[in-house]
Amino acid sequence: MEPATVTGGLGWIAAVNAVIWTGLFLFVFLMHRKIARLEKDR
Amino acid sequence: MKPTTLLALGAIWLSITLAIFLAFLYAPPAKNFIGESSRILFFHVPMAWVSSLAFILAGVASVRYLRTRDVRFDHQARSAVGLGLIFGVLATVTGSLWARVMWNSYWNWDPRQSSIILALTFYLAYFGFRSAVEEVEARRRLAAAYAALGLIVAPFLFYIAPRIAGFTLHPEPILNANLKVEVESRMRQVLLLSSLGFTAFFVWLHILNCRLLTLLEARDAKSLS
Repeated sequence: MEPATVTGGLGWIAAVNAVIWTGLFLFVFLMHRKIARLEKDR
Repeated sequence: MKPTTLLALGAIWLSITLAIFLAFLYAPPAKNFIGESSRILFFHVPMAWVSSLAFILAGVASVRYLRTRDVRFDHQARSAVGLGLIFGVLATVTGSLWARVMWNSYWNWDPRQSSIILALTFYLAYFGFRSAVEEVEARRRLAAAYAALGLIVAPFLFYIAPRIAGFTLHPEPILNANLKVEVESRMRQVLLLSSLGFTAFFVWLHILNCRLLTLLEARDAKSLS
């Protein structure tokens, strides 16, 4: 089996997964900030 | 936001991002697995682990609620059950994708597949109980008693039932019957990083969810008064 490389098929799959994960992370991060703001306003 | 919080959140992002790249580019494919299918292990195992952790946490919080009647424990239990269900569904989906490659079928009624479906059904009923009772205190007590029962049901379904079943297609669990982790060292490193990352991500979601439930309760109390 050929070794995995960043530019190979597995590299692309990893990159797409990382982009999806970063999007999810940013969404939760924004939720975190919104919750903190609501707590402050209460 | 405090610098320590930002640092902790950065560590969560970094650990899972690293785990993703290492899972595909560093860890070797496992022996006796078809093609690259073993790489799903680095996501499937942490999802199942976090799901069982969440259900146990919900049970502990429920017992504490029954003892103290402190509403924060009810929020903790409710949040943990919800997140446990999400991670449990993700574990089931990743497991099914892997089963399609290895066993040529998404679903085989393997003991592990059966036990996770039973566990998810059990915890789905938790929300059924919650929505069935009008009176708030009674709802909390009933839900807490039910989730406390999960302290027996969840470990049995996740850890005991699949091991006492006489047959399985599922590979040896990561922590095998001799309580040893017999996995190739690079795979073990990635699995450990991934498990730590997803556990930390769960803790973050759980804290946020509890804070959100407190806010919602305060809003409801305000609108009633």
